[in-house]
Amino acid sequence: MIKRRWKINSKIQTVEFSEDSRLLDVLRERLDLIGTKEGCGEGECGACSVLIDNVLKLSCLILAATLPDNTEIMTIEGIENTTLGKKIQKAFIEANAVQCGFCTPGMIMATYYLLKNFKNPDNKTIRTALSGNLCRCTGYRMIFDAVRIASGRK
Amino acid sequence: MYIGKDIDRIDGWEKVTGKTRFVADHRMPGMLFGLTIRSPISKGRLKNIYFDNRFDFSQVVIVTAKDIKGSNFIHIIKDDMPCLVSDRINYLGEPVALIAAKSPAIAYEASRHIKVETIEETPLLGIEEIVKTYKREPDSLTYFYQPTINKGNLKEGFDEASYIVESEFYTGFQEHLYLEPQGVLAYQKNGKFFILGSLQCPYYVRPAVAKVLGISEEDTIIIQAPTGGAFGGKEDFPSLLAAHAALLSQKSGKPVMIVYDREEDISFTTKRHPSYVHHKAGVMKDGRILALDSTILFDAGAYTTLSPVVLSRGTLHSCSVYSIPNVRIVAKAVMSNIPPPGAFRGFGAPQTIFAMESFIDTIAHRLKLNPYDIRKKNLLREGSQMAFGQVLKEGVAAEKCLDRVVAISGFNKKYESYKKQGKKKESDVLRGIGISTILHGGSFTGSGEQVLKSRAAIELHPDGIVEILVANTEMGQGMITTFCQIVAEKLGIPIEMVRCPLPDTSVVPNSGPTVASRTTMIVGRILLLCCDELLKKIRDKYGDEVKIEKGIVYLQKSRRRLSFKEVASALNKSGRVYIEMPYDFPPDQVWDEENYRGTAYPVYSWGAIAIEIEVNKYTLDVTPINLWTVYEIGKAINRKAAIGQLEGGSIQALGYGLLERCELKDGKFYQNKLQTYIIPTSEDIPEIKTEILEVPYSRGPFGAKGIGELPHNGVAPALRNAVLNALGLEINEIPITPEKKSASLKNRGLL
Amino acid sequence: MHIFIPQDLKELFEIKNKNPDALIIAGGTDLMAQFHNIKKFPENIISISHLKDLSFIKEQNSFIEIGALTTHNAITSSKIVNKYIPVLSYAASTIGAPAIRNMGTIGGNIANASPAADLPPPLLCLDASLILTSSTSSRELKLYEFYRGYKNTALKSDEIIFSIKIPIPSSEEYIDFYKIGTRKAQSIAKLSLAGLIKKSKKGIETVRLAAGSVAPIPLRLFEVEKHLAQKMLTRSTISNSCDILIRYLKPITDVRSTEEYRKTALKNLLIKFLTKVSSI
Repeated sequence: MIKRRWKINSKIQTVEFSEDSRLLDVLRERLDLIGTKEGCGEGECGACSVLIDNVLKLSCLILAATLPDNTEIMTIEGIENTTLGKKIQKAFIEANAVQCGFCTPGMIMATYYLLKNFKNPDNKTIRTALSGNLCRCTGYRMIFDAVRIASGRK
Repeated sequence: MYIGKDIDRIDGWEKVTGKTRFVADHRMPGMLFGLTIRSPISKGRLKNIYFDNRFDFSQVVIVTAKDIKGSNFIHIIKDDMPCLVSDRINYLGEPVALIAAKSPAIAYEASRHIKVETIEETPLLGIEEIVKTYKREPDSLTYFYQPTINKGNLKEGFDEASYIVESEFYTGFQEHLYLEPQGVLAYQKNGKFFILGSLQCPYYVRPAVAKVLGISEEDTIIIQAPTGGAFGGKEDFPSLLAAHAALLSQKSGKPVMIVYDREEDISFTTKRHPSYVHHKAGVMKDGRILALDSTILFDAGAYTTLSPVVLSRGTLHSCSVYSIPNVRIVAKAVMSNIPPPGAFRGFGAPQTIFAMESFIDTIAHRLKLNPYDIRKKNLLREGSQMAFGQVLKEGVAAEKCLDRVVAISGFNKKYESYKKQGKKKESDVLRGIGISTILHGGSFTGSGEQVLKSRAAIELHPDGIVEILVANTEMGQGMITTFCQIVAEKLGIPIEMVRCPLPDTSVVPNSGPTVASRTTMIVGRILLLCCDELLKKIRDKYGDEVKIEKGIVYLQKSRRRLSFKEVASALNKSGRVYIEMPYDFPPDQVWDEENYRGTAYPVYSWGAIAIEIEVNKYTLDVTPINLWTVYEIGKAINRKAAIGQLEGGSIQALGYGLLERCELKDGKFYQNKLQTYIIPTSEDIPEIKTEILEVPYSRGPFGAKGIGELPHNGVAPALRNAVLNALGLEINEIPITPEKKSASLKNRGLL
Repeated sequence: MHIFIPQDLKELFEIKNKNPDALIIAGGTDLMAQFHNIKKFPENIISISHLKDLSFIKEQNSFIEIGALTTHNAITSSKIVNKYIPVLSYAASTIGAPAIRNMGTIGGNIANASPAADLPPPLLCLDASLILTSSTSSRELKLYEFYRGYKNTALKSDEIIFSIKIPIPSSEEYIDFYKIGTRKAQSIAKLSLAGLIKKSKKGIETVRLAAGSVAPIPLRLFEVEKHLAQKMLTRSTISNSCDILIRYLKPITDVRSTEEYRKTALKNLLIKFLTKVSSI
């Protein structure tokens, strides 16, 4: 078993897990952070997107043991407590960017990462930023609208 | 108050905060993880299941066909699909045995020590092989269903025509690719079996599981978990999956969860039926089609499942929006050795409409007519008679949609100018524009709704909360919000006072499956009938005329004002206020199944699509630039939810036409991972403009008609027609990959 | 399964020498997906993505040196790379999607030896070399000598890729990279072509061409280069070079594309590249 002390959603927590655990498994099984989803397990769908030390990564492709102590992890459950995150969540509802909701947590993580780094992204930047997050329900346009609304651009 | 407005989704906040618990997010004490052992061959017999004793099988639970206490068939239309193979194998990947273990890793390890030993026979694989055999020896094939439509006099029609135009069309598999893979959790409590699952139709799963377990339907309780997309993929398949989990739970006595891995999901669950359509038309010089002779073949896979009804809808939509006086359609669902294809948004119509909408452009191309003009010459209008005899009475909006989409896309001018681009143009890209005009029948085909006898209910609680009790499922489409709007509007109460929980078959009546674009139109109507009944109860209680606005009840004659809550409390004093109503099937909807004639659908939704593309001259890659869609849906109950459905469907249809290659290789799906089964990303979609037209339907709730499937019918043929415009190339097979264009161009010596 | 997490290069080599079969995993974008697909991890894994010593982009006289663990995103956003070798920055931007580019590394992209990898074709054109390091020595090897066969490289079991050295192209060298993916983003190349050409009045002075997804390895197109060397870029030169290209290439039909299409499209891309160069 491996033991790590991480800062998860702004809270320091100690977790134990087996060596073959992916970060996705640890979040879901050990910490009950079930908002992070498994849609493919091979890094294609983006439903497991999280921020690691403020960088967008895929938790299905990371062996949890490789993250050292003091790593900062933010999941969808931590997003609500940030001003920007909450704004994005509201915008997703306003723009009807949510249907089945399975891709939504990952999509919101990607949007959060985008808007942290670009205050006013143009349409092309938005499309690129979300290109690793598959959505089968919406056809994407309403998600672009949500990102624009969250960035303050109507 | 609420109808036609942009109402935020009621389940939205749960979803954006990641709190929604899908099946895979559940854990129960002692829960085991299930895994399926599958047939390694496409056709033959099961000889033996070999367990390698180097693995300690005492740590897992194994179920084979011998363990089944009830019937070893999954109840769908016909009980011919085994739950687990006992002898005959009919497709590669057919379930042979089930394992449950404390962790998925142990289950996988066990699976590596099980060998399925078989005797192999020669399978029938692929639509090309089916067509070849059909042309040579049609009697050697097995058909699950073969409807025929006849109208007018075909020979006279062809004799009178100036030209004969003929063409063949193929469509491939399409995977639903709901983001949440298939999954169920089976457990037992107080002697009853429970299934919590990602599913569309709880009342389909209930009898299927009960029959396999050998228990009563009352002791089988199906609860829908929040469902991460379905698109038809969770209509029939969950019956098999739930039976598997239930069997493991029955044998182990423990809760058992089976959640498919994505590769397993793509490889072994249902897909859209591959199709072949042959059209031969007799056409006048001006483009009027006098006669149409069509053959439709669907690859229906190893077992009957839903193929007869899928083919039925496909056949009934195969003339698209055109009124043709003399028609013969011969359609067949052919048995083969692939996993049974199943329900998928559009249910057979996207295949046949692809063929017809492409064919009409083929006729235009060969006769040098404009695709818009030829459509105008043949459109269904009010009073037109369809191929199966139905006379259209109200709200025929094909022409409205077509005229509008042609206007907003600038189709005619662009079409003519792109046709003349030629090969010499300096730019790296060629442009093209294509259109299609479509329809979709709302609700079950023919007398289906009469057989279903759907019942829905509402309950008025003492605290004034109105609860909607339906078996219908929210899978992303927005049903919960739409139903709450309908009930709140009708009762005159704030939407916050209406609840619509996910169905549990021990609580809700059977309001039918959530399929066939029927939910808003049919079940929404029953809810209105329930509301009428509740309003009557209130009137009777107070012996007065009532008017309810914003949750205030005005007793008209006595000029009293009561809060809705007070009224609710008063009504509950004399017992539970539960109102259940049946669907009032329209008496004039008569369908003759034997002769395939009559009113196939009570009403149709309409649409027209234009798509503008760029084709790279060097790579033949197609980039969609603009997509204009105009859909007539009676009434949009929730505007943004409706647009969400229409756009989502349009993009799924774009993937179908452009990207989603899924080929059979030795009986297996070659593109069986997300890395190889390619669906559109945010960078693949064009600019989209969606317009809704509303011609209220007399029997729809607030005028609403079906909407969910309609947008899957038109984008693929419009795209194909745009390629024809850009390259002058008739490509009659989707998806239209650069590989196909390259091969076609090569055949014509253009490359 | 056991996972080793060395704290520095020295420890990495110690572990590697004791466990020669241990698999080194960097960004994990490819290997983790492979493990998932077979539902099994290898016995021993050495994770190195955190080793800061291997993540750098340096400008050194006539070349740029990029540490093996530099991520695709770091390459795409590097001022140095954008200034001197923008084609590499562009190629890195076509890999996967943002999260993948935050994880995947240039060293992994090369060492994994996939014929469809996106960075090798431009790197081959740029005449890049690899610095291969073991606990005792270090050597420099041209990238085109690194690939031996399908998923087979010249990397010895005690070596790692330390960095990639890329000569800075001169302003007269025209460079381009074309990738045909299965879709516009998050896509693996069906086919890619990179080219570098320097023209003089007498004809082509320098030419290097490389292609992806058309052979078992990322391929330098030496035969085509030989044909083009010293020639003027006339229509017939271009058309002859296409004939040579097709003669020497044996692409396959696979899950993403067909042999026929790959041949046709590669030929077309070569025409496009050479036509562009001829018009400059």
